[in-house]
Amino acid sequence: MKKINGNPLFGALKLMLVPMIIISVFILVWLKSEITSIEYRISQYESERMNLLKKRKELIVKRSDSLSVKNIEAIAMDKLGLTFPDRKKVIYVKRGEEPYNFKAGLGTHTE
Amino acid sequence: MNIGGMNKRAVIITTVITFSFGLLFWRTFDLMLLRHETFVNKANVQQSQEIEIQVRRGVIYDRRGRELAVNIEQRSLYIDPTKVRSVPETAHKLSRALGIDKRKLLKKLDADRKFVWIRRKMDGKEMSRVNKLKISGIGYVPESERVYPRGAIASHLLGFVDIDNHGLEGIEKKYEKFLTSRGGKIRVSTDARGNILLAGDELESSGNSIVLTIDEMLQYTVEKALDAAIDKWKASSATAIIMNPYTGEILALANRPTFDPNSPGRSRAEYRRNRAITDVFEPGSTFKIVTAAAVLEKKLFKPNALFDCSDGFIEVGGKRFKDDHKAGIITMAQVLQKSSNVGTILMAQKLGKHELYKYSKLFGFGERTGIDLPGEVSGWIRDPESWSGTSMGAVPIGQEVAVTAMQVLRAYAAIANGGYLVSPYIVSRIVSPEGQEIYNRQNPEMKRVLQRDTTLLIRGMLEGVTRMGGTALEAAVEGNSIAGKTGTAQIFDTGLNRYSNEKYLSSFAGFFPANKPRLAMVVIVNEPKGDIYGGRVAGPVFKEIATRALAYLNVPMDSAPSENVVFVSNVNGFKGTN
Repeated sequence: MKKINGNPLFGALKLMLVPMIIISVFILVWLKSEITSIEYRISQYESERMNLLKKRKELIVKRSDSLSVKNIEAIAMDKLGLTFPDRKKVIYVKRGEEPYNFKAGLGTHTE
Repeated sequence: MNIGGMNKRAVIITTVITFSFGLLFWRTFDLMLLRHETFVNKANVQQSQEIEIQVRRGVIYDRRGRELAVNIEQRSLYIDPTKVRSVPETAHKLSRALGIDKRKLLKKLDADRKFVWIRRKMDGKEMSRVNKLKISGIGYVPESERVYPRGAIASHLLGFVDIDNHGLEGIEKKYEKFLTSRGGKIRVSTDARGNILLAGDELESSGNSIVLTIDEMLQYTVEKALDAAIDKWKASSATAIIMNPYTGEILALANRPTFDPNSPGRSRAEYRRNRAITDVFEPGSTFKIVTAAAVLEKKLFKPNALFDCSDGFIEVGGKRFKDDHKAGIITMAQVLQKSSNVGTILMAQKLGKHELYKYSKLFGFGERTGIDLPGEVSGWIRDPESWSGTSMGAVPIGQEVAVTAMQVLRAYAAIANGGYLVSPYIVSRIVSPEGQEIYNRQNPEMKRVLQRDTTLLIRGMLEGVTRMGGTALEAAVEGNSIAGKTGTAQIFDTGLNRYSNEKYLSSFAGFFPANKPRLAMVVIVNEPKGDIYGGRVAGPVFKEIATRALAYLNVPMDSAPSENVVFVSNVNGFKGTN
């Protein structure tokens, strides 16, 4: 026992015990406070996220409405004066197998 | 004074400190062990709150990923009547702000409850009006609202939901368990003011998304054509369906009258009915393909067999079945082309009632098609043992049989695809919120009901219907051959207990291009005014839709000359398509 009491390391530990306990308590309190503060920030971000999601959903509805076939047809025909293509004038494109010295042309070639 | 080497003061201080630590230790022991549960429960009440996870329905897409049903976030207003200072004043204010009947509000505010809904899913303007009133005891709950951005487009397919987002009709009802998720509740921390402190918990839970087989463009084309038909013929109702004849995928389905699923309550219940699968009718001449296919299958007649229809009528069981015009002596192909009742009955008489019944069932009549939509009916065709004397005249030409538009379409799809009866369906894929595919209908269900040779013969005969001498010249499409059959059926008047002379059902069913079918389609126009014939009423609707559909799907014209094809070489990395 005497030997232990005489150990300088044990003496130093004994001296540091109280400050360590106090520091630990402060660290715990600080950690708790940090966690609470982070939770506030998460809540704030969550709230922002929810608002952005809400806006996103509203924008999806708007986009969906704008891109509906009905709307596009109305704009194309009424505002732009477009008409449906004449099927007789449609030219069908087929990929040739051999390389030609031209990229495309009205074919005499048949597959 | 020294006690064991310590002075008195030190003894007192040591004793006080020891006693204090003893007290602290006891208190800690008491708090943490003896009354642990009590304090944990108190803390939970003070520092946490149970909130419901908001359930969001999955999105419904068309086959090209266009949104047909989505969600938006709304706020719902509730009130805690126990916190209301003045009930009459609050009722008065809310009544003015929201346009709700004051008496109803008074009744709600007098309730002995802590939670009463005032207005579900409010818009922003209503919310700001209420907020300005500074009413005590009110609060908002976030809720999602189902929105159908395309309005009435495909409403009978999509269905609709109630205020609590439960599916009531259509896909929304049929796939309810896939579109929603369980939800539940989570406990979250709160501060002294009741603010929620989150630690990354998900407050929202989404259901699976559904991808339909329908194509918005084709759907819109069909809806527009039906609107025009209703307008032109002042018809009581109309239905049109487009199907991929090889797989059973429904590409478009529309009914008139229709409704807006965003506000289903504003339309009458009958407008919300999906007539394509819930309403039965006597098909009339569109049913004649069953008789024709059966006699060809049984090799009772050859396509060039002649039928004497010169009298213009035939008597069966004492009842006279007439043709519209005396057709003379005609071939089997002409029987279908001219829609001769006499010729068809002559065919059926050789076939016999049991075989006719058997083939009707093989074509799927009298049984549900199994489409994944709610409310489908089976229709009926009576057992041959219970047929009357006139049935052998009526059934072959589509009378005394009750069918749905979907069944008629499926029968024509069987002719188009070479003899397979397909199962129509509307949902092709179900995708989880994480993007994982949990259902994919890849292998179409089909069973062979006719030999390919038989279908090719019938197909050729049906092509004649839209050609010179046929009953549906007005269904012909420029550039592509159409195979189809008209139907003009008198509607049975239950009040008069006989067939009406004024009410008819005009129809046209077929597929196109006839030589290489891409789509099968049926058009039904109920009670048209001004004309009654399927070829003149439903035929032009068919033509209108088919013309647009062929252009949209880039189907070349039958006559497309090969010299007009541009050949593009694959040099320089160009990737053309065949």
